[in-house]
Amino acid sequence: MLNCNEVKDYVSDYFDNEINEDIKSLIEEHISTCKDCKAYFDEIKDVINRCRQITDEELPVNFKVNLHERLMKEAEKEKVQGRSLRNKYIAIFSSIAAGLILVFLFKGFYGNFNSKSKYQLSDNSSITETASTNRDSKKNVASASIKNNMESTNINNSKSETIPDMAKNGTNADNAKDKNYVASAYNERSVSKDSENKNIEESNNKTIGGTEKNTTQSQSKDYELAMAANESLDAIEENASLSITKSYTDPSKQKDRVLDAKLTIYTNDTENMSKKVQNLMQQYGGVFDSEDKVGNQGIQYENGKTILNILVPSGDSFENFWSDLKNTVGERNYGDEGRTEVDKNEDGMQDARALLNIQLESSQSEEEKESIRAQLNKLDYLESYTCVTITIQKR
Amino acid sequence: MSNNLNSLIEQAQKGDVLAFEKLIEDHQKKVYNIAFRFMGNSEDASEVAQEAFIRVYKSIKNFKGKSSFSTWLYRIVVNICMDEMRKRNKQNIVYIDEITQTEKGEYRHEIESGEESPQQQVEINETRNEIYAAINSLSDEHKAVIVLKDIQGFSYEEIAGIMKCPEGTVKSRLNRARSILKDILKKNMELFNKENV
Repeated sequence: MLNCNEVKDYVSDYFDNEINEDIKSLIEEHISTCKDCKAYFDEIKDVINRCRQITDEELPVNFKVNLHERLMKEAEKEKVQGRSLRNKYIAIFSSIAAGLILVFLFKGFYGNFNSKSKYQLSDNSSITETASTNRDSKKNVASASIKNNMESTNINNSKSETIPDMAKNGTNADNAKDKNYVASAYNERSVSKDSENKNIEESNNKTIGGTEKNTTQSQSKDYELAMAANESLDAIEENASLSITKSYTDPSKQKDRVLDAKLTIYTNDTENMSKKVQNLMQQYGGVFDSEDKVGNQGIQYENGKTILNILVPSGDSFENFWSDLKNTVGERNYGDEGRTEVDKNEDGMQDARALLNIQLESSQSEEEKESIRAQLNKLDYLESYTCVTITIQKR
Repeated sequence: MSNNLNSLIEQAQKGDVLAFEKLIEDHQKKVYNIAFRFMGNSEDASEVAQEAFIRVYKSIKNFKGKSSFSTWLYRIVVNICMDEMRKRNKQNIVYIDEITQTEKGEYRHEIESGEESPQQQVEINETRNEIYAAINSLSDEHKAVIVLKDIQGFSYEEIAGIMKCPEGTVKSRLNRARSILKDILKKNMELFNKENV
């Protein structure tokens, strides 16, 4: 048997059908005899029914329209922010990447030194330290840094740590020869970090007879820095621009991430072609660009042309979409193809992401972490699609 | 079905407004009505409901799928409603009757905002007015469970997800809320009877 308090506890479950049959019958048994509890149950039942009878209000007339407007504004905001964020990151990190490229290139140079081996080290007394584009003066500075570690101007002087091998080998030489030898020896050792040249290094070690690797490490760094200071401006610029973007018209290069792509299709039935493109778009998970940065909507019609602004998921989806599109259209019916690719290895986004992750780890406050995570999410979002502009026009 | 939902979510996460609107299409009326029950009039309800959808759109990139999409959506709605109520309650509370305090809840009587047109007021059922007023005077937590369970028909499990509390808590809050409503209505009856004797 249940007492009144217990029965009252069950009232909600009773009316929500959340109790088993046994308890239900016990309750009903109780309220059939207990007036108070019966009244209580009836009152609660009344409340619940009145609440349940409350009908839904209708949406106000302009609700959906207003909401749509606000959403579009929000979407535009995010795109602008995203684009400027992306540009900012690309700018910052491509310059870092350019710096990294320089270092790697110098290592590449070391490999070349051996094969070229035509330069002459100049006389010690005429060391110039200023940067210049002249190869010889580069070597001057380079040799100057080497000579930082040498006490005397005469290479053959065995006071220097770097000379012993020369002396050991007993190579008689006029300065020129010795300097060449030292230069190439240094080249090889400084290239020791570079795995490509390891073989050369080893073979040289044998001929020279024991390199002192510890000392050469720091010396090769000096060498690197000297080279860095002397690298020609032309080379720097060339490499920097290489690291940012490469434009190909050869679509067979698949590995890089495509930022933007465009194509013009020539046909007499523009409407039909537009539908074909849209089908393909949907097939590959693409969507209309709801509004690009100049305010163009997904489809524009101007001067008899149909222009489709589409977003297609990057990577395989985009590549498949692109080749399928061109196959469908037919080789003689399209032109003016272009795409902007970003080399994955030098892609500023990778570095941007890496930097953000580092910041995230070292961040102290939860608020800051949230904002960093939001920025990371934005990068994901940006990386995930390619903007495609397709113009369909009559021949 | 769920594949379609997932792909809509994915599109919306990329910023696709049309996909987002499809996603929320079935929820718009419910969200508006929850807001309406809290705010008491259509303008404020519109404002709150739209604000909720904007906020969901903004943070959908952070949606990990740990709870269902609708649970997440309604959680945001309820939170915004409660925030708004807190803001407004600080400004204009009018007490008609004395405040009766109990262990857990407060009864307040507030004037209906008076934004209904005379025509509407005539049309409004006395009984409905009464229950609206009664619900309005509940505390925010109690109001929330009544609105979600008895008016909108969510399950205990769903409400627990929306309000981020155990089902047991939902049940006891609901019990309490219903009991308070009963007392309010009873009190109104007594007052009514007294006046008309």
